Amino acid sequence: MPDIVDGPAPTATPRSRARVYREIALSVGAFAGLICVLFALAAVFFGITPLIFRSGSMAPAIETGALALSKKTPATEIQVGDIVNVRNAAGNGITHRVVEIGAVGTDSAQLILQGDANSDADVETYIVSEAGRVFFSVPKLGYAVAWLSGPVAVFIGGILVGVLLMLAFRPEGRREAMPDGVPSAHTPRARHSKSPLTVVLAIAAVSAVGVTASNTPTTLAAGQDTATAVSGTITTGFVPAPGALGCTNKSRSVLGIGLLPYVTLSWATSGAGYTYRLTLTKPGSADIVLPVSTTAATGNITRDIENGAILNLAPLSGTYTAKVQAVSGTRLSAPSATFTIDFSAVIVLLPSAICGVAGSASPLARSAPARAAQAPPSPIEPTPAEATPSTATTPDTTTPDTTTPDTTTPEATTTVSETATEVPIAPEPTTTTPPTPEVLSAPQTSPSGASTARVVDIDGSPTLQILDSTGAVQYSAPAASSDSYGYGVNWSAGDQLWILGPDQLVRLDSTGGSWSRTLVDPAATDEIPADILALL
Amino acid sequence: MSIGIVLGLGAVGTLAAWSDTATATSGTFTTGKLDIKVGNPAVDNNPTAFSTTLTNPAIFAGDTVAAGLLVSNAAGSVANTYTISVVASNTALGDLLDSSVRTGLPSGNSCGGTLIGSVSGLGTSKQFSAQGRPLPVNGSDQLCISVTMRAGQAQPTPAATGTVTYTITAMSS
Repeated sequence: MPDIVDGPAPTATPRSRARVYREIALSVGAFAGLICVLFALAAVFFGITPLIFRSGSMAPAIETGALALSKKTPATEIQVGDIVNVRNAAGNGITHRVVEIGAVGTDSAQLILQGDANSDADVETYIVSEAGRVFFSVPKLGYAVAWLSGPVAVFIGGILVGVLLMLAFRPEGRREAMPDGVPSAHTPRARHSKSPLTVVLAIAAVSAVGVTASNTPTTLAAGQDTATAVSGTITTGFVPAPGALGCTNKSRSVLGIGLLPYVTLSWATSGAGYTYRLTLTKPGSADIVLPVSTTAATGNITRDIENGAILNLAPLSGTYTAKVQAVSGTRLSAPSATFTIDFSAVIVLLPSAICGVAGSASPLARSAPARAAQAPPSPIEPTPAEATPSTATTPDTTTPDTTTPDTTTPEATTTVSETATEVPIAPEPTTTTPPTPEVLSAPQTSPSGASTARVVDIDGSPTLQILDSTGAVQYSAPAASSDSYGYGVNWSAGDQLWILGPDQLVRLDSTGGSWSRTLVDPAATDEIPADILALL
Repeated sequence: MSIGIVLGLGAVGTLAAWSDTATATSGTFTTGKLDIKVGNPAVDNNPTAFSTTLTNPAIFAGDTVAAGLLVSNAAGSVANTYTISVVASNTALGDLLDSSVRTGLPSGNSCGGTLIGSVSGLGTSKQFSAQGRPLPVNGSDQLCISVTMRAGQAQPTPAATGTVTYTITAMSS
């Protein structure tokens, strides 16, 4: 009878189905637990850390939301092309591809990283002794793991643990009796003995997933975008200095009283549109500034200098030094080469002006300080020098000889005072020279003499540079020093440069002006020249 | 059996201990578009107004030119932090120049806002400040950029001429 036959069947099927479900649940839990436990052990013993990618700059290799596994790797074993996880200055984990490795002398390396989807390398470079190298990644799984670490997942996990515990430790008899009171003949006691191990693994599974999830460090495969703003053209202004001053003696008759000597100063024009400014200086006297409004595109500009009347001043007396500067708006050029003028007011009605001597050229204000330094410091000094030989009974004739040309000494002194006080653009020789980097390791020339290696301080970081014979930098990379080797820079035959460190050995080979870096195993003695080996 | 349980608990305990040392961060996922723009109207590169303002055909020692630069994140869908670097196209010119970045708009040929960073010598690429400036989605940052020819420098002969490039690099945060 179908009714009778069917009778026990429905009661038996749910029972076995429940058992199957229970088996599956516990087996899956156990299996997952085993994986999680193994994974946790791997993490603890092999330094393997999971990473969740929070952004997509490593796309398409690793998309946002991927779960990756990384293994702690010493910096010396990291290669260009590896995807590594480092921590940036802001404390975020960054996982990008290594595009360049700076030369290292010790166990750390400077990594230059770039996201595959980024157009530029990261602004920040990372100096690390070890980094997590990504060796495996699964797309999307990071979302799941991140969700598992959330409060909802933890709550569900707790319930799941409870359910699994119930399934595992529920008394056998009650479990079997429940469906319809018919005791199952083939209820195995053995199953009960198997359950605790299964359930332990299942609990471990849930716990491990939860723990792992809550501790998976997230990593930014940080995206990067640049924008640029270019200024307009900036050009340094320049007012060309006029030509050297020339001086011509002239005279004219004054109301029949006599001849008035005066001078005409002339100089080559600075070009169209410039006016000029003449300055007469004499130590201890106020400067006399004479604007000259004459302009000329070519040729010479002249200006007459008469003592007294033309200067519209009280007659001058003594030697003045004249210089001329071109004027453009409020800007002044460097002064021209000077000329001295001897003024005399001995005859009150006919104060004279007579050309003195031409000064040395000072085409640029920049050269002035050097000249000032070379010039005699003061006119007083020759006096003691003169006094000493006279007492030492040296031939008197030579001493007067050197001091007789009075004009040279005052000229030199006026030139000094002029350059020291009158140069409108104060020169600063220290700022015009480009800063030379501080040398940390003395330059060493290669055996052939074609290259020089040195370690210099660039912006505070030691940098290994290889320069060619013209001084051009062919190779530049961060360098580190160690207690045992210093910067460890040593040349070997064939112009190989060896960088020695306590934990590694780096060889740099030149090929047509560029240098390639090779990591050499210090244990591989057959690859190392004897002279380098002797240093190790 | 009991060994199995102890082992299992031991494993969990190890995991828990291991968890103490790790940093637990629930990360936010970023899938948006990172797009930083400059100028008004916002462009990817080289706003015209900037180049026509920040210019001087005859700069003398002590002179300053200034221009406003709007940095915006209107086109992007993720927040970012950005850094600014500067370099002159001509080393001879760059070595004579200093630059600073301040907040706000320029007034005449100078910037009066809060100093963000300044660098001396633009011959080689330099960054204004190690710390990035945050820029939220739809946010913008009005900067005032100035270039000064260092006082006391001699005017070079022949004249040095070139441009100064500011690169704004945004990193998603």
